[in-house]
Order: sequence, then C-alpha cells, then structure tokens
Amino acid sequence: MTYIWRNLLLRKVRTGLSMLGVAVSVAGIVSLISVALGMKGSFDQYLEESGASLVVFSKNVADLIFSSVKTRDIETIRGIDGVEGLARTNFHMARPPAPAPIPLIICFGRYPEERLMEKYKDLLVAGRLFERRDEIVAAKYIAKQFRWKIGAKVTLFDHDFTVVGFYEPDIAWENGVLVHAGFLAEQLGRKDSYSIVFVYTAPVDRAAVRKEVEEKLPHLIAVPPADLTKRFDDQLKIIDDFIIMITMIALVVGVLGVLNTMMMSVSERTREIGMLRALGWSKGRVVRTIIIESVLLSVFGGAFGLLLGVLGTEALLSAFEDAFLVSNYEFATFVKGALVALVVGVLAALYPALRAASLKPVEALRYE
Amino acid sequence: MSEPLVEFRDVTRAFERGSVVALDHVDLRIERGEFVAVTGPSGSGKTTLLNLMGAMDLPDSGEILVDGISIVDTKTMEGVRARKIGFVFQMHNLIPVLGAADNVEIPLIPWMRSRRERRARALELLGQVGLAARADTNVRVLSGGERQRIAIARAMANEPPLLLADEPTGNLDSKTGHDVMNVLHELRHRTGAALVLVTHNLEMCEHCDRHIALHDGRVAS
Repeated sequence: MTYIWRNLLLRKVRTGLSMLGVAVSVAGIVSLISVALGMKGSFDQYLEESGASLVVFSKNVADLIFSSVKTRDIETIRGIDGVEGLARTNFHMARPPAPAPIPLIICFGRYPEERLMEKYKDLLVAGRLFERRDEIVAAKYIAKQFRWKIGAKVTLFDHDFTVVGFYEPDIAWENGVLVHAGFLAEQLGRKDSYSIVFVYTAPVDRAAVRKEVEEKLPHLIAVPPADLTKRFDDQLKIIDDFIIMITMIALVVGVLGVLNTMMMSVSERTREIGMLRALGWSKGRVVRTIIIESVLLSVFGGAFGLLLGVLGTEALLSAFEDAFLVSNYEFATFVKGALVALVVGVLAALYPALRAASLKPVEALRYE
Repeated sequence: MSEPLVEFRDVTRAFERGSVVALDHVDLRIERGEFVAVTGPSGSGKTTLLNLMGAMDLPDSGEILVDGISIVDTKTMEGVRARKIGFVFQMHNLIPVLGAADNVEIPLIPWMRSRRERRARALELLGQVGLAARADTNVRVLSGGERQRIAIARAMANEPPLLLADEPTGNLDSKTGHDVMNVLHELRHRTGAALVLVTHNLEMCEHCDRHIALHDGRVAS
C-alpha cells in the first residue's frame, strides 16, 4: 500500500486532475438523479397537500395535461354516496407582456369555494385569496420578479386582473398564479371540462367510491394521490433512461481520464515493474497493484464527486431559481455515484494492468 | 557428487530469429556457496547467461536447473525468481518513491503477510549493510554506494541460495566499489549463498572460486 500511495502522491497534479475528472462525472450523476427525484417528489407532495382521497382523470392519456373530465362526469361523481366534496383543476401557461423577467407564467385554475383552496390559506403571506374571476393570487417569487404589489393591475391572456394576494408555496413549481378555473377553462377552449378532479371522501368510503367511479365512468380513472406517480411510470422511465444515458457517458469520460493516467503511470514505471517481476512479484500481484492504485484514485475522486454533486446542484438550483427545479438526495443516489467511481477505477486499470503484467522482466529492465 | 545449485545443460539462446546466437550450447555448473566471476567482452553473452540463470528468460534449447527446479515456463520462472535468486543490478533499480526499508521489503511482500515481520526483517538487513539509521530515508537522497548497499540488502531479503550481480560496482568509484563488494561478500558468507558476478573488472575476480570467461556465446575457460 505504501508503494501505491507514494505513486499516487508523486505526481500530485496528474493524480488531482484524474480525480477531478472522476469527481465531475460522479457529480453529474448525483445532480441529475437528485433533481429527477426532486421533481418526482414535489409532484407527490403537491398531490398529497391537496388533502383529497382520490384523484380522477382521463384513463388513456399519456400526460395529465391532456386529461379531460367533463362537467357531466363531475356531476355523476358528485352523486356517488360517500363523496363529501370535489375540486376541479386545470392548468395553462400565460405569456406576460414584454419586457418580462420570466417568459411564461404557470396558471393554476382553482374555484374559490372549493376545498383545494384551503391549503393556500396557510401559504398566504400577504393580501387574501381571490373571490372573483378578475382577481388573481400570485406566488411571492412571481410578484417579486414582476414587482407586483397588492392591488396591482396586470394583464394575462389579454384580460385585466387585480392581484389580491401573495402566497409562498413549499413546492418549487407551484411558483405561478392562482386563477379562477372557470376563466382558465374558457381560455383553454374546454368550457365543460377540467384536467383533474380531486375527490374528498371519508377514509372508510374511499375504496367504494373509487370502485363506483370506475364502474360508472369507465373512461376515467380514480387513484389515491400517493399512487398517481406510479400510473405515469412510463413517462418517468424516460427520465430514468436519460439518467442511464448520462451515467454511461460519465462512465466513459471517467474511464478515459483514469485510463490515460494509468497508462502514463505504467509506461513511466516500465523498468520499475520489470524490477518487481525480477524480485519475484507474480503477474497477478502486478495486476492487483495497478488496479488498487486506479480504484483508490477513482474512489477518492468519487467521494469528492458526491460532495461536489450536492454543492453543485444546490448552487445551480439557486442560480436558476426560475427553473423551479428542486433536489432530493437519497442514500441510493450516493451509492450509485460511488459504484460508478468504483467501476471507473476497475475498468480504467484493466488494460494498463494487463499490459504491465505482460512485460517480460528482462525487456522491462532494459527500458530507458 | 552433490547436486549443483545451478546447472546448464547444452543451453542455446539466440535473438533476431536465430541470427544472433548469444549462448551457444553452454554446459556449466555452479556449486552451493561458490563465488563465480563471469567475464568477457561486450556481446559475449554475459547478460544473457545471467538472465537465463536468474529465470528471467527461457532458453531456445537445452535445460536449466536452479536448486533442482527445471525452468520451463512462466510459473517456474516466477517461483525461482522469488525464492531462489537475489539480484543486484548495476543501476541498483530501487523504487525512488520509497524509503530504504520499504525497498528492502519489496521481495518479502508476496511471502510475508505481516507488515511488522517484514519491517523487522528489512531493519535487520539494513543493519547488516550498515544503513539501519537510514531506514526511513527516501532512497533518492542517498549516495550511490548507499543505494547499492540497500540493493544488496533487498537481494538477500528472502535468503536466496543464489546471488546474481551484474556489474554491481560499475557506477561507483573504486573505494565505494570495494566497500560494496565487501558488504556483498560478508552477507553471502553469513547465509552461504553462491555468488555469480558479471564484471569487466578483473580486480573483482581476485577472490573468486572460479572464473568463467565467455567468448562469442561459448565458455572459453
């Protein structure tokens, strides 16, 4: 081990740069996975915060944005025994008049009298919740960006609104504006339909209500909020595939960096390796020594990468605040990052190690 | 007659597809504890002889036995190098990133698992070559003579029955060279190891038991 450590420390700059290469690869993986998990987690949180027992939406849509729950379906649901309340929601994107600090504003359609508005009472930091179609409530971040004050007149979708309150969401992408759902439905050209309907029941009635909704309205689906993301696993798989792709790229970059270092190291030590073989070191021992050296380099680089991944992600998220991205660091993410570093270490060492072991001592000792 | 330590039986080794014959049908024996000097002009086959004797190369024909082991493949070569032979090179070939004791420990690593035992053995050997106080000193800052004494300590680490020395004083001034040779003889007398010394310096052959002169790959005398 002394020999291995000293070799790594002998050329500090080269070792440091190789470690940095591994660190950047691992940091990239940690960052991507954490942001993906953060987004998934914040969607779960959004659904849970609704306090609803069931979420109802169109059965055969790939994305909730295309879901359409008709007014007559909503009336059917309202008539089912055990249903205590409903909340209709829709979404739209508004392009604020130029010049604007943010190109698009997410608009969340809500009805002031429905239960979904309850949670915003706790999130309100100034003013009040809207009561009329020409009033909106803005997220504090949006208000700050546009320098809106309470009572300000703003134009969205070519309509004038009065800002009556500010809220501060605990989910990053809820940084938008709360708009009357009826108005938004008109803007979307779907006056008689909504994207999602939240259904409130007593806990004991949930299963029965769910069954009845799906029987009476087979074109719709009703799931507990916690199960909703599972329904969209296919979409989330795209994110997973993207992460796998980036991981492979990071792996190749890491391997090439360490491979280069190990090749140079072995080449410079040809004579030394020949001497070790002359002194009785077996081929296997030479291979192991070089692999351990490479793995140490990668593992330390990887450890730094894990730290860099967290710090870098947080720095990027705060620098790009208006991207509304959030992070979620899970233990498994760090394990994945560390495994990538380990794999980089072993793969990058294989060729140099086998090359070193194949050197004939008599030829290696002649090497200048 | 007792079994020789080294035996060459009709050994031939050629290079460049057989066009350069470095050793030509050589037969020789080295007895246990014997001091044999090998001399000859450049290209006479001295280094080839030493490489074959040191299990670093295989002959094209003939047989080589070291301590009764026939050297026939990589595995037997590795085993013989590790347990039967100690090398002292002209260029000492110490590992520059390591200290004196660490260098002496290198041949012990495959066989002695305990680091403490390895260190104790290395310190004992460094004491025998007069460098106990330099055990933790990086070899880069040591003199040529000191480095060569460390190389001798390293060669003796596994108590091999055969020491092979290739111009061990070639890079040293005559006084330092004599000191190094004295250390080498002292250590081999202590362990009873045979010494095969390749040299151009006939002065070094003065105390040898036998002198082998090589010429054009053959034993001339």
